Amino acid sequence: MSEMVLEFHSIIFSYPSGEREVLSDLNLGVPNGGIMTILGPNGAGKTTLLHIALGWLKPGSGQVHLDGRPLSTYSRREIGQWIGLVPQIEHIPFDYSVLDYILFGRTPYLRPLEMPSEKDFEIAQQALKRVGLVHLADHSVTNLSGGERQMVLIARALAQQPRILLLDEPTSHLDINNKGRMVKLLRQLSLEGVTILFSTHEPDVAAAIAKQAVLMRDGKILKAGMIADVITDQDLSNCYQTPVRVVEIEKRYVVLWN
Amino acid sequence: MITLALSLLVGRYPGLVILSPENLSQDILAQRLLLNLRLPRLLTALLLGMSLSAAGTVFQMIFGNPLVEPGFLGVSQGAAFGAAFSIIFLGNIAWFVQGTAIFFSFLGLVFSYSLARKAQYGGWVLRLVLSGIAVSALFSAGLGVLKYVADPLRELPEITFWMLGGLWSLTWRGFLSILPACLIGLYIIYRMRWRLNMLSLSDETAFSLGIAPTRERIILLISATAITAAVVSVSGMVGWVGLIVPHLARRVFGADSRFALPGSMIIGGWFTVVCDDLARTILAGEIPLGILTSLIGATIFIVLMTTNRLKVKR
Repeated sequence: MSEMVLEFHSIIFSYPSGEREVLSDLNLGVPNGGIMTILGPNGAGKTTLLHIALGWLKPGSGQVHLDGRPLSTYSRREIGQWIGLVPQIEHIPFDYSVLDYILFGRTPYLRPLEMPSEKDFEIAQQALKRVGLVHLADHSVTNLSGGERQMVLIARALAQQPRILLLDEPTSHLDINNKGRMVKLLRQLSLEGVTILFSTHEPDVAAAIAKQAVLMRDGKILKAGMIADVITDQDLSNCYQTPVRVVEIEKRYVVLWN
Repeated sequence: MITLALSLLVGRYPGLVILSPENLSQDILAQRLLLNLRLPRLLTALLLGMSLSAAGTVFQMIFGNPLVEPGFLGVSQGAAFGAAFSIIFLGNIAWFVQGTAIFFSFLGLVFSYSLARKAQYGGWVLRLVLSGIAVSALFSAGLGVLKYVADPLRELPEITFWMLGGLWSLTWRGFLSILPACLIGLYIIYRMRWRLNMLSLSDETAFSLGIAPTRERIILLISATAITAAVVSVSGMVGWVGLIVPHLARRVFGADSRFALPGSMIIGGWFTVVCDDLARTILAGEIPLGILTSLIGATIFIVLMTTNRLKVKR
């Protein structure tokens, strides 16, 4: 296994409808077992980058390597077993029970016409336990609070037993208690060897979870490196084009803005 | 099963309502009636209900929209236009009407689909829904023209009656002509029912679960359209089954289409058989099936919407 589990080589990407390049000549490596955060203003290309890592969007030029092999040589099922995605918002039109929904995470392990087995069911239950919502197993997903819903999305991705977890703003509508639980959960997953790549708008959350950080702006990487080197007054101010100050209190970074 | 057996005996021959089994063993006319008229009609009603509700479930899940019904991609309006066209210009021959109805419903789908591919804005689902609406509108405008030029004494009543839906002229030949398409379509949909769940989620989530969203949607769309077009071509427009039965099934069996889809097929088949029994029994003349399915379907739906919980444990 190579040192970098996910590598982006000179990725250029633009959406078919727009002329603007969303990502321009982007190079990045995500270390195996690492936790990396992507920071940057709205429209910097964070979500696009996650979708390219998943193989859902194909880069106009450049290549993505997963575990040393071009991503395009993987089958959809293989990618599904490797990578889990937790989208920022998930619109669920029908009122599935929470456990039904988490069971969907087992799909990459099933043959095209196969139904989930008893064992898949158990894995789904473990995933639900993992996020601490066993009591909600039979509840409808449409009736959950924002925090519960976010945890259920993660449980669905965990049922996939992925080696890489991509999360798009996992804490964006969580209260501070739920944020704390999310931080703990992601750290724990990383200890178990899951590689985590997530985008966020909250530098403090980024600093609390991640070891590495990437600053993006206008489809380019401004700076990438260890969190302490990247979460600095100068780099954050530069990235968001607004004065930012970083203070350290009780070994934690707090970011002051405006 | 009981409903099916009973349905064979219910009707207006020889006396009102029930044909007794003893009577049946002696009366040759009754036997003929049973085998050649009621049995194919019953099986078609069953197939009609199962197909419309299965297709309805597929469409609602694929478009993530509970208000969609199987004919909306120009399929129903296409079939209606085709039937009217055939009634007026090609002579009113049963199998010809059926053929043109199928032809035009597929034309509707192809037209909607290629329009959706060419459309310049919006996501895939939005483009397809809008194209479906536009194509349906074109066909119903065409239908309006046809109705306007139709002979008000001979052709217009025929068109109107077709639009209301019914199975009165059905024979074994009609049943057998739609059976293969329906069986294949239903089989594909039934086997893909677990993946149907994932297709109701957003595209990138479906993709992250190892699904090929566009390709698998197309397979299911074609299957669902094929069975809808097939049954509509013999029955005319039978409303509400494809819209309401999937809701009932989700209400009873839960949203997971592993259970909701077969549930929907069972409820749909049963419901249509009962409605058809009523259609040919209540009055001396036929009541168009489409009217009954709408009337009874909507009533049941209102009752279910207002009752609290109805769910089977599995």
